[in-house]
Amino acid sequence: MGGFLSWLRVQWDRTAAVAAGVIGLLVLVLGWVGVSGTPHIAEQLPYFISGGLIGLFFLAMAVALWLSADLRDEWRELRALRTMLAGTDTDQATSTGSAR
Amino acid sequence: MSLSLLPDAVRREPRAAVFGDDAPWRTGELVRVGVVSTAGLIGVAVAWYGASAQADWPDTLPWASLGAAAVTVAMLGLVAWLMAALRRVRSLRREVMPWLEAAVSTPSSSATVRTAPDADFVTVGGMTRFHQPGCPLVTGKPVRPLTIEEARTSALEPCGVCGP
Repeated sequence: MGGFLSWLRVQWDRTAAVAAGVIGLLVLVLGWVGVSGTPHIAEQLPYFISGGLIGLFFLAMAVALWLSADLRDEWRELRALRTMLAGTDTDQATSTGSAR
Repeated sequence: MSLSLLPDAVRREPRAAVFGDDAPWRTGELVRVGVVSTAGLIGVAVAWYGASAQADWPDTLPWASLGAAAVTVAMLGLVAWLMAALRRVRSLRREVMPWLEAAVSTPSSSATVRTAPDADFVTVGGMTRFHQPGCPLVTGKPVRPLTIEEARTSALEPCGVCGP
């Protein structure tokens, strides 16, 4: 349980992406229920705005959060690679200097 | 660039739970995205409120248009968030790639292996890391053989490229 909570804490962006996706789908379904419950267009449009548009935004937020988590991981890996190669560069310079 | 071939040491770098130094965004970008997305959501709320107050459907259409425009603005905030990260990742990739290509394209030769045929690992005087005998970073250098035990007990760190 502790490991799962720790994973949730570290992977907060992916957790938030899943939560936003679930909320988005829920809001879309609620909007659909509202629209299908009335035959009057004037009563349907507020449901379209609140359920449809906000649900769409939450789904877009889920996608953005998931992609940003991937970008963040790639950035971290590249940064670690840069640090590692910089260390290797120092090694090579040191060994070249000592050989002279 | 595929990162699946990176050494385990790089992929295993711990992932911090917070932003700050561990993410490709700056505080200003975070604030900008928050402001734009919040403004968009407020616009959607206003559109919903306005549309709810109308009795005839033609009167609700302008409010629906406002809602569509507002949600577009909110999504642009999300796109700006992704673009900022993508820009930073590309910049870092441009910085790292020449080093990586130089390290990988060093011609490998069997001279190093012949120098230390029975060695588990090798190092070079002055280096702070130990390597696999065939590592391109020690190719052509006067290597000193190391056993597993010597490598483990020494103060040397494992090379991040060949991953001994």
